[in-house]
Parts: sequence; C-alpha cells; structure tokens
Amino acid sequence: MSILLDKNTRVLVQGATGGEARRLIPTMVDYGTKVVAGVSLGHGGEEIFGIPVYGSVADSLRNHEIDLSVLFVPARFSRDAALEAIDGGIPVINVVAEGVPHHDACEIIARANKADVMIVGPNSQGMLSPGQAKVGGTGGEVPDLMFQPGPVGIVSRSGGMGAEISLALTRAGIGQSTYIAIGGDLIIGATFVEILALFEADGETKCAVMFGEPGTAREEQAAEFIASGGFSKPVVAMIPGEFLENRDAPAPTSHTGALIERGIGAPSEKKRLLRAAGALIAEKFSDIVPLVREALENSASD
Amino acid sequence: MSRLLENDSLDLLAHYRVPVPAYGTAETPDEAASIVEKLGGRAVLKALVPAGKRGLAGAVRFVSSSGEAEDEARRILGMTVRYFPVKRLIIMETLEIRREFFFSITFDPTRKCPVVLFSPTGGVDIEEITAERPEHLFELPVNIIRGLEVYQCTDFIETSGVESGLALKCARAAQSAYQAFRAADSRMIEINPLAELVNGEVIAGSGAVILDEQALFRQPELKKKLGKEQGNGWRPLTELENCIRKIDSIDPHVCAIRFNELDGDIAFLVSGGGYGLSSFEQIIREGGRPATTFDITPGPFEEKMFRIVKAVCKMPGLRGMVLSANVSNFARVDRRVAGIVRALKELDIDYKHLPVIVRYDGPGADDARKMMAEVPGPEMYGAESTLEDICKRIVERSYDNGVKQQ
Repeated sequence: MSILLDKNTRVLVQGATGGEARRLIPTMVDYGTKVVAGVSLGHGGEEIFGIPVYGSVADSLRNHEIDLSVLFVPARFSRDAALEAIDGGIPVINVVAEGVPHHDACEIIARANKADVMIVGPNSQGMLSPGQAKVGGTGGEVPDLMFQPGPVGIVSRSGGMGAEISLALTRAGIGQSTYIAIGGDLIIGATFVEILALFEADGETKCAVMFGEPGTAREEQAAEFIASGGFSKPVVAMIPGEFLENRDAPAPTSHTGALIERGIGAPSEKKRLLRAAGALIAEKFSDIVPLVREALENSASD
Repeated sequence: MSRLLENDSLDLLAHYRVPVPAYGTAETPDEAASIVEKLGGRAVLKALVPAGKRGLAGAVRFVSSSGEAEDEARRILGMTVRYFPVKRLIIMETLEIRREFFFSITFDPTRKCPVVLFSPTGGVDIEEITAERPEHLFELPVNIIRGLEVYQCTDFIETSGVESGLALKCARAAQSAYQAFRAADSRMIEINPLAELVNGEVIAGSGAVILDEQALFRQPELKKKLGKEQGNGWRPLTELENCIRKIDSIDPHVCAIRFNELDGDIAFLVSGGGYGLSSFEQIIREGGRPATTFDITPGPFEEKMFRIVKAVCKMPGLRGMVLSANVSNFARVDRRVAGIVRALKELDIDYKHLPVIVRYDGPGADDARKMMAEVPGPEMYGAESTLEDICKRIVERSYDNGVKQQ
C-alpha cells in the first residue's frame, strides 16, 4: 500500500516535450511509473519515449483514464496547465515548478477545491512510493539508493530534505511507504494535515516523519490534527530554524513560506505544540533514525 | 528584496483610486524646504528607505515652516534607519485626522487565499495589535476567483464596529487597494493609518507595498522601481553582494543565485531551501559562524560557481568554506565541481588556514571526485555522509587553524 501514487496509478505528464520532461520521464518509467500520456501545447499527435502526446488535457482524457498529472511546465505557465488539468477533473495534480506567482497558486487552489481536486505543490520536488512509482525529480537518477519499501510515511516542505531523510532511513534498513514533497512556497495545496490523513488510512504506514520549516501555521495545524486524533500513529518531526526567531538578518533559505510573520510560524512554538500532541521531535538530523526506530517500536507494541 | 519605496507605493495605490496625500521627494534640505512651501508651509518629512518603523527611529517629523523643514531635512538625511543611510526624503501634506484605522492585504497560507486585515485601532503596528488587542483585528478572506466587492468590505468594516457612512468610505478605499494588490502581484499592502479626516474624507495616511518576487517577470514596470535602494531588503548591498549580483546577471535565467554576506567566518555555499536552512542551523549548533547565506537553482553551474568561489574566498577573516547541496536531484555534480576546482586552482589556497569541505552526490559524481582529487586540500564527501557530518567537520577544521588533520 501507499498513498496518492502506486504502480497502477495512470500518470499524465504535462509539458511532455520540454527539457524537464525529456530528462525525467525515462527515470519515472524505469522506476515502474505507469505514464500513459503526455500533453504539450501544439505537439498533439507526437510521441515521446513511445508515449502518445496530445495537444490538450481534454484530448488526452478522450483517449485515456488518468489518475494523476505531473506538471513539467515552467512557473509562468503552471497556472494555465493546472487549470486545464482541474477542468479535466484529474484527481491529483503535482505542480513541481519553483517560482509560481503566489496569486496564481491561490487561483489554482481555489479552483481545485471547488472541483475536489488535490494539488501537491507548487515548488514540490515530487512524490515517490518505493518500489512502485515516482513522479517529479525525487530520488534523482538513483532512487533505489535512497528509497526502499517499508512502514514510514514521509511528508516534507523541502524536497531535498525529505530525500535526505529517506536516504538516512534506507541506509539504516528502514523503508518508506510513500514520500510526498508538499513544497516550500507560501501558498501550497496539500499541507501536512491532508497528507497525514492519507497516511492514517494507509495500512502499510506505521509511522510518519514530517520535515517542517519556519513560517506559516502548517505544523501548528498538524499538531492540532494529531492532538484531536486525526492521526493516531507515531510522528517524528524535524523543524529547523529556531535560530531565526528574534533575528532580523535574511533567512538562509529560498522558500517563500519560510518567513515568520505577525508572530506566526516560530519553530519553537511549532515544536512545542507537536511535542504536546505526542510527536517525537528531532532537534537535529541525526536524531531522526533513532526516533523513527522508537516510533516503530511504539507502534508495534500498540 | 521587493519592497517598494513609499512614493512608489502611494503612486500604485493612487493609480487604483485609493485617496493618497499630496507629496514630493527631496534629496537636499533646499529641495525639502521648497516642497514644504508648495504644500502650504506645513508637512511631514519621512526618510525614504525600504524599511518600516521609521517613526520609532526618529526619521519622521512634522514641520510647520520651510526653515524648520530645512533643519529637519538636514538631520534626517544624515541618519541611518535600520542599516539604510537616508539619501532621500518623502514630504507629505499634513492631514487633519479624526480617526485612524489599520488596513492591510496579505496572503493567508492557512486558508490559501488573500486576506484583508482591518483594525478600528490604527496608527500602531500590526504586531502590537496582534499581541495586545487581538480582538481588535478583523480578517476577511477573499475568494480570489470572485474577487472583492465594495459591499463585502462594507459589511466587514461595519462588523468591526465602524459606523455605516464611514465604513462605506473605508470599504471603497479597501476595494481599490485590493485592485492594486491583484494588479501588481503584491505580496502585501499595508495602509497604516487608513485615516478619516476631520472633513470626513478617508485617505491612506501612508502606504507600503511588497511585491511577489516570483511574479516580477510579468511586472516589468514595477520591477524597474526595485533598484539599488532596496539592498537585500535588510540593509544596502555590500561590495561582495554587488559583485555576486553581477556574476548572477551574466545569465540571469540560469542558475539564479541568492547570496547575502553576514558577520561570520565560514563561507557557507550550501544550496537547497530546506537543506541550506538545516545545514546553517547545524553549523551554528556546532559553534560555527556562517559568513554568507547562499542558494543557486540547478543548471549549467560551472561559470557561476567558478566566479562565486573566487569572489567569496577574498572575504577577509575567512576561516573555512563549505560547499554542498542535497544529494537527491538531477543537478550535474561534475559541472558544479568543475567550476569550483577551476577557482580553487587559480586561488592557490592554503588549506590549513582555509579548510574547504564539500558534499555533493548525484549525476556525474564520479568525475567530480576525480576533478576534486586534482586539488590537494579540499575534503569531498558524498551520499555516504550526512549534512550533519560535514557541518561538524567544517567547524572542527575552521577553528582548529588547520593544525589538526584528519
């Protein structure tokens, strides 16, 4: 089992004839992802790596059933591509571009909510269910080195850190159910709460690891969700950036969501709330593996 | 950074029919005096810097004669406000204010939409309202597809306790400000105070606009207004920061660089939003003092990395340098390392006094290791190590004067 993506998920690639897609489609297919079609404006009727390319999402849907679309289009075109996929009713849309205007992100999400479509991203490195399928850049060229099937669900505001955490777990012999990079932007679709809810329902997932960041109230909401019983499995959370509190120098991150504003988003407060909700807090990276072991033991004894 | 100066902010608001005061800008006390005269002999002088809280810094003054204006202008032009030396003043007509409100439009990352913030208690900072009188802060989430109508603002502002006629005037200004927020791809607009004058008019007593950097590609006119005066949003650019920005402008669309200089002594060239943040924190935890913040987007890295490393190694008092990126991506490690190695060879570094620690892995990593091995000093690690390992290592080496070798 896994969430959002498995070996049977029928994947559409938008921006299928661009450079990003040319680089990433082969790695996705090699990993087992069922890429059924591509869309590229003005390229209808072509093929890429043997996959049919359509000139519009609507046309791809006339020929295929699609469960998930991944957008390999530049930031400035992400709004149009996402709205097209939403109009087509594709249930899950992964927006990977970095630098999508925040007004566009709000518009994408507002329309998606109305259509009951889940948006993962923008600025999401992708998602991966070990041994089954992956979309986006997650795992680089050697996903088997970083991921192996197992009981840990991973959800991260940082694509790179989620993968580093997976790598550390894999090296320690602990596998993952699914890894979701929700994105580092100020405005993103799915947040911790939505992903934790999916992990809760997934039988394979025995515990979750969250990588949070300063800014926004996403970890605070997750703490509330956990405390209210929405997620009943053990959680390990790492949230760097406490040193940014009461510091006015520029933050060492490009993530537009990682800004403490109006007193909201201090990592110390996020950690306090998560701890109070029963989560295990990794103050530093090397705490994660031992805490996950502890969490898995706790879940086994339940 | 993308904070417009107050004159540009007021122009933007006025363009969308938010009433704003008459104003002028001045670079000299003489100019200031003549503007004050034109405004009728009474005016407010403010430092024109891309920073808030100017009043607290003593950089806002009421004057009631052109002579007084000249003196105050001279004083403020000599000041530095939150790291920004004051080079210009904005001089605004004085307003006969009856009542002040707080008004802002920003994004609500929880509701994932724009939100209008209004407080019947104006003239104080939002932080103060949030901390001391949170019940005085009212929030109106906006459905970005439907937009914001005057009637919605009217109901919202009346609900906050403002009487009907006045609420309607505030609502008109609010709806106009929302038009400006949308059209300019703003990250935040703040009007504090939104003022009711004794003659009954409602006017923006001041204006602050922060633009969404990720949308500047489609805001060419506004982008032009973001110049040298903004610095890095925190303080004016240093010589090194200017130099790195020039390097970035070789080809601004590939491998975009973010770089800031800090007080520390370990050059920190670690990229990745979360990875950089985690590494930076770990270095501090180990007792290290990062001298820079850094990020670079993936692409053909070589030339930019070459120039960055050369520029950064010239920082005085540097005790170490750490270069890294998370190991899970498609960015070519060999291209990145080729640039770094070329720079290190030219620089002829004494690695005992400037240890260099590198952690990269991914496509081209084997070639990268071979290239790095051509230079005798740096230590290169890959996916077998963690970010924590290299942060420990750079701190250990940097503050050991290189005497202790591995």
